[in-house]
Amino acid sequence: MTTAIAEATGGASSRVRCGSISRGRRKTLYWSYFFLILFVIFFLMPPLYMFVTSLKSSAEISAASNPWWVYHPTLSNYVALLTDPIYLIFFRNSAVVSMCVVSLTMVISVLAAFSLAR
Amino acid sequence: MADAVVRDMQGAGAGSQLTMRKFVRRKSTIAVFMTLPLISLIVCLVVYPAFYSIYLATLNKSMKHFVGLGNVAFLFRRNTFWLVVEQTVLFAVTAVVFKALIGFIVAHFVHNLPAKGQRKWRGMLLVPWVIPPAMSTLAWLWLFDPSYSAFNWIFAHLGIPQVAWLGNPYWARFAVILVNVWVGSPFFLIMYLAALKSVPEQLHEAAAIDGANWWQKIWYVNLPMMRNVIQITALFSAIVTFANFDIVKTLTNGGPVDQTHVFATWAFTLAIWGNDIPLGASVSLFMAPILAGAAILILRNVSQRGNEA
Repeated sequence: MTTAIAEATGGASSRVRCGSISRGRRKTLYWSYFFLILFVIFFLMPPLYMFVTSLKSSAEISAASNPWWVYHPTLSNYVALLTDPIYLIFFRNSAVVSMCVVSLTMVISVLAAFSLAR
Repeated sequence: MADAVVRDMQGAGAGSQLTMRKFVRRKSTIAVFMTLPLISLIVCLVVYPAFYSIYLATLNKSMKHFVGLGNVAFLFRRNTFWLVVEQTVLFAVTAVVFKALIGFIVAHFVHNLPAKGQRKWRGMLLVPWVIPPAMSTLAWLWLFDPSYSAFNWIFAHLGIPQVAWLGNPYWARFAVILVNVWVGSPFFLIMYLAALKSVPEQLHEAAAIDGANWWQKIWYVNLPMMRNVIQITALFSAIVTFANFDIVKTLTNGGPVDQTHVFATWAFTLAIWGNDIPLGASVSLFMAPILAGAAILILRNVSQRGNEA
């Protein structure tokens, strides 16, 4: 009985699929993709620009070439940072601060939330 | 609670040392001890600084004499103060409205997609919210930069006249709001998407049978169902946007002739750079009543929602 109903509804939906509702739905899907691509471009533009610029040498940044593309990619900026002892200290500072903040917050808020919820 | 009472009755005839132990073992006592770290943290880091800043705001510049409301009276006579008030309200209202609009629209687009492909779109759209604002604002600063500017390069190729993004007061205001919208709209997107998913599909089907078009479905079905989430999200975002510091500080630092200062950055400039801590404290105190009003609205809303559920 249930399988018959399921088949009937399945058949109905597959018949509807070639109707006008499905065409309208596919149109909204295409428009959704179109606008989502626009919004993703807007949302991802600064991080991508940051990444592209990070691959440039200082000479290429100040050159009057296309700022959106890198013609001579170089990893020298990353190498310079990772071999700089000061930057490694900053890196360690970030790790220490975030670990301390997370553990302290967890302890204090878990205790308080447990006793307030009871 | 009941076992505590029973234990109290058992220990009624014993000595005071025993009742003391009972008192410590009672559940409410334990609860107070467990919330003590949080309470002390709030007292040290929220209550004490708040009252200290009220005290600071009543001193003169050298912090030696009590001047009462003199700092406030001085602020009211300054044009820059009214400029900052105007810019803060403009900044917060415009940014929150556009964040909510973009979040609402994009949430509907993501909701239209088949469930399988939604994850990667959600991930891509969440990126601005995940990057620390100070860092992503730096990227925007390079995009707006007049000499190596990426936007002006495109404009030059399209034949549009160059724009001094951060030099012209109007464009600087636009830039600050744009970056804020960029950072904040993914939060609205996620909240609205979650609210959209909780709207029962039957309501849409019933609306479709009644002949509602897509606009009527959004206006008469989605919006009323999402009303609570929209209100609370907008209020939260209004608080954060109103007290914004890092974006304005990094992007324009108050901008061309103080045109893009908001309360927080102007208070910082007056207090730390201008060496007038009492004046900065009284500027920042102007945020308190507005933020408190928004917080009360949020709390009232949450308790109302609790009653309905």
